[in-house]
Amino acid sequence: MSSIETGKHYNQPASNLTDKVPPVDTRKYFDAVTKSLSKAKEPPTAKDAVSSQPDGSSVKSYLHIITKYTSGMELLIKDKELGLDHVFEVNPKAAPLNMKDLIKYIGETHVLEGKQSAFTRDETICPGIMVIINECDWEVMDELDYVLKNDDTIEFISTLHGG
Amino acid sequence: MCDATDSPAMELPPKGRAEGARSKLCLKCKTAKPSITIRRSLYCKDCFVRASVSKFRSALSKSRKRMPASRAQVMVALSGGATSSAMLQLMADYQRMELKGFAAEPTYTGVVVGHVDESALFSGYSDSQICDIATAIGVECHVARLEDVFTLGGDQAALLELVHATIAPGTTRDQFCVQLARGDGSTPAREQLRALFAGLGSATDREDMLDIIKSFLLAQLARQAQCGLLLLGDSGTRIASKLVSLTSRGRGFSLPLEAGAEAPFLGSSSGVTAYRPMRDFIMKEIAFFNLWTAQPSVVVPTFTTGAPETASIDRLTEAFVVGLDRDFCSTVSTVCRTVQKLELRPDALTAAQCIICSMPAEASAQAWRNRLTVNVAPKDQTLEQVAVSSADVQPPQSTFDVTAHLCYSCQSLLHFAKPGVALPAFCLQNYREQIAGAKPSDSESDVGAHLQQSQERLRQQIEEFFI
Repeated sequence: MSSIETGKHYNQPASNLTDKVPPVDTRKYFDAVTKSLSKAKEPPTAKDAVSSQPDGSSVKSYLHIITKYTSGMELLIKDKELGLDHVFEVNPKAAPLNMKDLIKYIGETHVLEGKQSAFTRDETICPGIMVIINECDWEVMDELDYVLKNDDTIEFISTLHGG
Repeated sequence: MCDATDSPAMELPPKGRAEGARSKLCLKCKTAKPSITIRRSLYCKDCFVRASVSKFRSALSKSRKRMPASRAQVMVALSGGATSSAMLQLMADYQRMELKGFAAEPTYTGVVVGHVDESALFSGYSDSQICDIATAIGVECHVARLEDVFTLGGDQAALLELVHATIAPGTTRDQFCVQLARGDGSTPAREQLRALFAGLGSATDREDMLDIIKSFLLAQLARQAQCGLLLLGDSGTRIASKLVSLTSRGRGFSLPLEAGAEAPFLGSSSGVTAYRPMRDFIMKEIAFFNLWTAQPSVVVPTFTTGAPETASIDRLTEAFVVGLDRDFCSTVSTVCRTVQKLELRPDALTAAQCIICSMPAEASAQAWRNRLTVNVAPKDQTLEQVAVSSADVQPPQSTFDVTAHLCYSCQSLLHFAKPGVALPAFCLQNYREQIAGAKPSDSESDVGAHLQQSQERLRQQIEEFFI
């Protein structure tokens, strides 16, 4: 019967690339130089990040990400600023950083104590918070699996009543 | 063979996700890369904004067909939040189009903004920010303050003050006794307002009272500016969560008035018609519309801002609806279509208005409560004793029982309020109007006689306040 065959087809394990790489320890990776936009005269560059490393060697590569929080999201963030700059050290041998890692990192590092449950739930963002990657809906950008690129701007907008 | 685990549906990705969206093209122009997915349809930026504009126009003209309002000015209710800011921009655009068009005369004579300033209760934003949103678009901004509800009749006007509220299972009548209290003018209106909200029982009650006060002030602003039509910025997401929260708060009787696409605002006597043209938009569409059209908005705090989901019924239902809508993207639109099918019961059209919320009050609220209310009786009393003792309490001579003038939901609101809470001035106004308009033939049996007595006493007491 065709319907059963369809069922078998869907039950086959999906070939998931992320299964093959070891789980990402975000703390280790996000050796971040985080500065708020208003405090820094110029946006931090990869060069700044290198110089901030005591044993900074030139082979390391860096990833510069800007995150913004509006429409009530700023109430959840420790630094009461609309934008944050992050520079992450990237290990080229490991799995590339994706949105899942970034959300986990922000939830652990920048969200106010006790407000984490209003930001992340079940390893993803809470319902009611829109995630915008470079002015595009993240649902057309592979959501959690989106691989971060240099100078990406990630915006979080709360759509809940009253923020 | 029929095992549920074999079902293909179990392994399907959650509904609402556009799989492989990056390789597809915009649904409308079929040339640009998509930037947003709405209910699994892909749009590029330009097509999305254009579609939003035409959706608003068609929503407005549909409402006008179903319930024509007087050809007058339109008031856009602007809280400053995302939805109302987007609505203001869309309405201004509609008006511009009408003026440019070839129509002999535009449908609406003008557009103004009505804003209720909540800074008495919430800090963190100012009404100048909201007026800036209005002036940037080029419309006049009318502002009322929440505390104005205590100074409607002057600084020393009399107010209704709650003396005691009793809800007991098994009694023949609940009692909500109020007395007239004349302010001495020494307490500022802001303090009176804060005292009112501090005296209410829970965050749900406070949100309820805030809604009531804001609705009253908006209706008043609309009348003052001679606007026959009021546009309310309830998004589809908000209407869906309102359906659930209003029902659970006991407002099912007046639900079609409070959440319908078009309805007379605060009773037909107000002369203001309310449209909710944003009901076809979900919050996601509004967030992206504001982002891509650079429409500024303000975060207007509520009593539950930053609070956990269980802080109030509104918050809880919102979290429920938003969570469901993420996994099943047609949730909001399905619920909204259901709201549109709701109709008022015939007896709601003739029912007396609640003196607090101005919504029709169901006459059988008592019977409902007797069947539903769960109360904890003191250990040494049986249920019968509680019923008898509460029925025995007679209101003191200077107080009036207003139970018959309260809807089910406002009865619950007052039940958990502290005695001594002074109600906004419009409650007394509404009460006075109802007493003045009540005919003896309306009253029934002993309840009616009791009511008449108290009405007579009230009339004597408030005679001096009649103009």
